[in-house]
Amino acid sequence: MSGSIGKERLVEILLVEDNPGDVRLTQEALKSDRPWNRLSVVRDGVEAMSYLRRELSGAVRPDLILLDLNLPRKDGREVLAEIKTDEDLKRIPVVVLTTSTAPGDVLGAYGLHANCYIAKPGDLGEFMAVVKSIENFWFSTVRLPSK
Amino acid sequence: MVANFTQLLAERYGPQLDDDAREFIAFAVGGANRMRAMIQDLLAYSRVGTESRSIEPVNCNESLARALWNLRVSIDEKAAEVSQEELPSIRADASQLAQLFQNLIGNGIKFNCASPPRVHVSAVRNGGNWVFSVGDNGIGIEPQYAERIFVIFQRLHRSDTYPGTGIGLALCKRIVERHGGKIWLESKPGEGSTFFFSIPESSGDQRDRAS
Repeated sequence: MSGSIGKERLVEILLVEDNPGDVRLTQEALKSDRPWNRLSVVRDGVEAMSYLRRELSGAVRPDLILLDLNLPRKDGREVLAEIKTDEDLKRIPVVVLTTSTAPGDVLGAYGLHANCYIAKPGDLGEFMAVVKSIENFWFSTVRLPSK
Repeated sequence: MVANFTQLLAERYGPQLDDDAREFIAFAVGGANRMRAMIQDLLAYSRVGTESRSIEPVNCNESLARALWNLRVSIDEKAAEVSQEELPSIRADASQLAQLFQNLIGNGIKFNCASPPRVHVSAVRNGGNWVFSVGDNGIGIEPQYAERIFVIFQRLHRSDTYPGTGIGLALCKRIVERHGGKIWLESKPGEGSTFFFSIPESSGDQRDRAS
């Protein structure tokens, strides 16, 4: 499984998602027989930035961020802009994972330097396949920067 | 339909299910209910744009009464106290006005931890407009969010702290603007909020206060 990440430590994934059902589905999709990742969850944009700035206890620098766009308080577009203009945080790959298929949202996200944009499929099987493909691409195929 | 049968599933087979299964059912039911609320609210929002307005003289006290009747369950549940001053008759779309009162008063009760939650409705004449106010002793809104809350789908709270579709205030704004008015608020976080909306008095009509 681990392309560029050493087998010695768990891969840290930060999920920024308000909907508890979607959080649970993502957790289910990332479960595996051999634990290889640790999923941290924040539920809105303000909490996301506090986590990334290590203002929350237990916060660790993620290897990958899965970001929903529609979040309460501070939405995902603002979070994306803040991450990608921060000297320290901008190197962390951000996968926008959202229900929106609006071309304006897609264009906007890439304009703010999202690493990629994925529209969450409604079908369970397709959703599971998408999460698997995120795992394979970002943690096997791709080289990630060392922390 | 989805929520009902999932609930039946839980009730009949609950004891035989494990914790994960019961959790999945809760997510399914919650999701179905949220979807239903979203569809209803989107329809209401869309109708304000597409249906032609039926403007007629409307007694705002009656609109308010209609709104309170629709809110009776949550008023009861939270033992809320809703008070009002005498409201005028204005030229407006009666059902949209009732919807407007219902959303604003409903919010005043929902986003509220006070015991009891209180909402007060009044109106004053000001420079060719009637300016209505709906004031509450609720949780309040921080100033930086004062414009954002009127944007459709923008929410300040997580779905499990205060439920909602993020459409209610956008709908209020749409209704007010289609009547030629404005909507705004004043708020002190932790103390309460007052929502104001103006509706122009049409020229040439009798502007009597309802008797």
